[in-house]
Amino acid sequence: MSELLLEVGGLHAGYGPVEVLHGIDLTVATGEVVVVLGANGAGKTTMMRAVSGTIARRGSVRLAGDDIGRTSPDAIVRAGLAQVPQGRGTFVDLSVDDNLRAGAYTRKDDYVGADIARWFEVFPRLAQRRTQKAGSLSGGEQQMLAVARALMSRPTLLLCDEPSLGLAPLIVQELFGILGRLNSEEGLSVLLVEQNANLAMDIADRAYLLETGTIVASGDAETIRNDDAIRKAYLGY
Amino acid sequence: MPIRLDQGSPPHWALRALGALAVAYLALSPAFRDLSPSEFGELTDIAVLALAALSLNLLIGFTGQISIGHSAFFGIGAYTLAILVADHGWTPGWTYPVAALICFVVGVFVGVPALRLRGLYLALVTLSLAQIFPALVRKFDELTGGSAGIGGLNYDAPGWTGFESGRRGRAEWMYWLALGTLALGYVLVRNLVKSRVGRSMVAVRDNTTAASVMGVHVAATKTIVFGLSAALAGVAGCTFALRQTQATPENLNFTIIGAIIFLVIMVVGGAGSLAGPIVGAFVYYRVDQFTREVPDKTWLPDSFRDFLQGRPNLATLVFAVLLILLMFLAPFGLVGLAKRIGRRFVVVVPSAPTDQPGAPVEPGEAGAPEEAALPAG
Amino acid sequence: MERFLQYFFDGLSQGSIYALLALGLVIIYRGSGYLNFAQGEMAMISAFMAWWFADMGLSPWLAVGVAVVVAFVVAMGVERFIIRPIGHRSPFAVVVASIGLFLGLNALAPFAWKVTIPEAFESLFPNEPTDFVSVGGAEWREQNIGVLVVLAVTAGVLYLVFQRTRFGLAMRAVASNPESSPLVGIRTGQVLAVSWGMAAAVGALGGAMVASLRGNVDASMMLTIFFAATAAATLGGYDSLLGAVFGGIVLGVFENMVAGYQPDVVGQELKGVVSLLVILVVLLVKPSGLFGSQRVERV
Repeated sequence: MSELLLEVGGLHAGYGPVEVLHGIDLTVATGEVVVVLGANGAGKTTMMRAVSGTIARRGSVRLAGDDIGRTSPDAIVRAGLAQVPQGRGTFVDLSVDDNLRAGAYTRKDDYVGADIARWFEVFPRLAQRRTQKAGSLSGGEQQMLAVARALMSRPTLLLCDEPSLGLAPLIVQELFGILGRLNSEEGLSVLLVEQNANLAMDIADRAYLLETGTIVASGDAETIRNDDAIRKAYLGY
Repeated sequence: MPIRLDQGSPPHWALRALGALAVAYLALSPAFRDLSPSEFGELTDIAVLALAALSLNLLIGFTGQISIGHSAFFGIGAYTLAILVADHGWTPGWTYPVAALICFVVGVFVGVPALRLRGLYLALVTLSLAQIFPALVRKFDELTGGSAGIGGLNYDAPGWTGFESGRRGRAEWMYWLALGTLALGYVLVRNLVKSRVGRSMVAVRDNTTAASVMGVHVAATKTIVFGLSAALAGVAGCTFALRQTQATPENLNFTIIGAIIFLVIMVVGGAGSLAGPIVGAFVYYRVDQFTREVPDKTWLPDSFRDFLQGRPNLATLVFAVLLILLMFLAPFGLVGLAKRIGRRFVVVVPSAPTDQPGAPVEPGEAGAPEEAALPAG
Repeated sequence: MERFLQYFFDGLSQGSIYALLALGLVIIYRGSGYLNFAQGEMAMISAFMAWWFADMGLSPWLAVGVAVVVAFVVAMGVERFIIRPIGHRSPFAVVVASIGLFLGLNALAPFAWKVTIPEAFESLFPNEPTDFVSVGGAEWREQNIGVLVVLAVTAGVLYLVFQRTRFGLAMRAVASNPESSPLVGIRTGQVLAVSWGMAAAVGALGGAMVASLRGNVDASMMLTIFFAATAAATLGGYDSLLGAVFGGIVLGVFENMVAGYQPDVVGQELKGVVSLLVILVVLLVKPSGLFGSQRVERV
């Protein structure tokens, strides 16, 4: 019986006068990989931003029992939440190495260098390019960099917003494989948002379906996969 | 609570007619009232400032970029008139088109490198232009009379106007001249804004890729607009020179301070609206007068006035503070503020767009936030 | 040859001052994307403050040091309470606000200190007629060497801060991608405030150098230098610190050479023309400047 790491209740958020999320409830238990499926415009990115506090919202968001409503960005990261934004969001002018160091910005311990070495082992392509500017990396490499950067803060919960966007399926497989291993071997909890989530469902424990700002379905991965309507609309077969 | 009017409906037309009448009254009333030459002079000065600010407004509206150097064009216009009138005996009226043309050419020349780039660069280029203009004037003293300048610029009212000769008649004539050029400028800018090219430029101002895909030659249009804006400022400069009856490089309006004043007037009035420069010029002029007289105001406590003894620049300081406060309270200027307040009472509901390119969609009046007209910076 | 060297050495010190101001411009531009129109006037006020502290009895260098610290703190406040809130409303309004700062600061000096004529400022470096180093027949005055050293030290310190400290990394991250910075826990607001503080501090040093070289403080002393600094930053690339230093030095030397060899064509007043031409040429040929990144360019 795992604790709930992330509890989102009655989340409303939007941009200006337009409300995009109309009361979302979801949870992520410790050690789970949870996938949120949804088409374009369903509100997936808005949800991620609302959860991580990047945009204003109503409703409750609790991380390990603590309300992270009004916390500053550094406190949220220190509380164990790291985000891989849509479109990578790497620091394109900084080297790969500096990007990783930036990921460890809130850490005060001495193991930052060791962690960097470790992620270079997990993502060998990044090691090859460690002194290059992040902007010169390919899309797939930048995505890995964004993930590694987020992992540098040693989070307990990783939020990933459409990491497969624009990437070749092989790379996506590699990436999800790594996430899956981190989840099973180290208990990293992941909240993953995807449009075409075929590969994501391979590592998922549970899934939610988001449509125009509301959760319309939820359940464990198997059930969702076997649902015909969902399969056709979101999993492509 | 707001009354909703449909665009183009009779009540809407009535409202606009009312507005137009009010403006006409304000502008034309001097014809019926007995104003002294100095009062005419004040109004002329305001009209000159308004035209200069209008030229900046045109630039902002189309390119989203600001110029901190229109004082140079103002000065070119003034000196063109001065040189042609004093050294070559031209009638002042004919120098206006020449000044406009020269300013246009200089504007295009300076604008070409800068306008295809970010706003920062046009600001830099115009800044330098404003900075060197007085120095250039002093340097080429054979042409410009150097530090002493060119004086004796008078424009006697032509016979057909029926104004008396001498100072009174000149003052009246100057006012109508200034008003006329302002009206012409207003019509020019308004038509440009409403033309098909104008509206597409405004719509894609912040997105150059979209513009070029749409077939609008962005850089060229921007450069021409900059040239026009320079020309308008030059015309304002001509009238200014006549008002001052001289052109000297000492005059603040030909320096970077002048460029800043024009910009401030435009901003105070409202960068996104056509009425802004006019409102701004009025306000600036009166506030300027007021702040200059503050040290003499008797209602100030004595200790304060003692404090002010021997301390120059109070007027400028007050102005700077007001400017910054304005950016907090009304970044879209006074007209923007008035429109926002006005929208609580009357909202004009836009009709469905027609296919005619000239369809009357007043920028800012259609209830859409005028704030959208401001550049992204 | 002597003449060349003389113009060169004089140009180096002028260029060092341009470089100091340009560094301030670049730091703010990288951090917040704004051109700080008030950079020169901030430096001027700081120089006045240094003069004031020295007048009250502090030794010249200590007075400058205190002025630098005060400038840092005040500029942080300006960013936090003026620039940032206005920036939320509209970036355009920030440009206007910085112009307002320019006007206000320019007017403030004579107002606050009741001065209408330049006030004497003690030179920070040995300034006797005999204080120079002879190089190839030209006199490299010690005060000019001093200014160059100050630039070198400042640039060195900035380099270390940006490249080797955690906070410097945060500043570079914010300059690169302000949206992603909060994701790694960087407080962008703090970083921006410190950027403005640093820019003001560097500018204050520049102002002090100007006052020292001139021997006095005067409200209008930074105007032409500010314009030249903008040209230097354009030349070097608006988002490059190295570019600011390089651009400043090159512009200073070039300007001085032109003025020296062609005093009739380009006298003191027309140095500004050199700056304008430099800007125009750079914009036509390589808008991102010598060391700037491509992104500085097109809209």
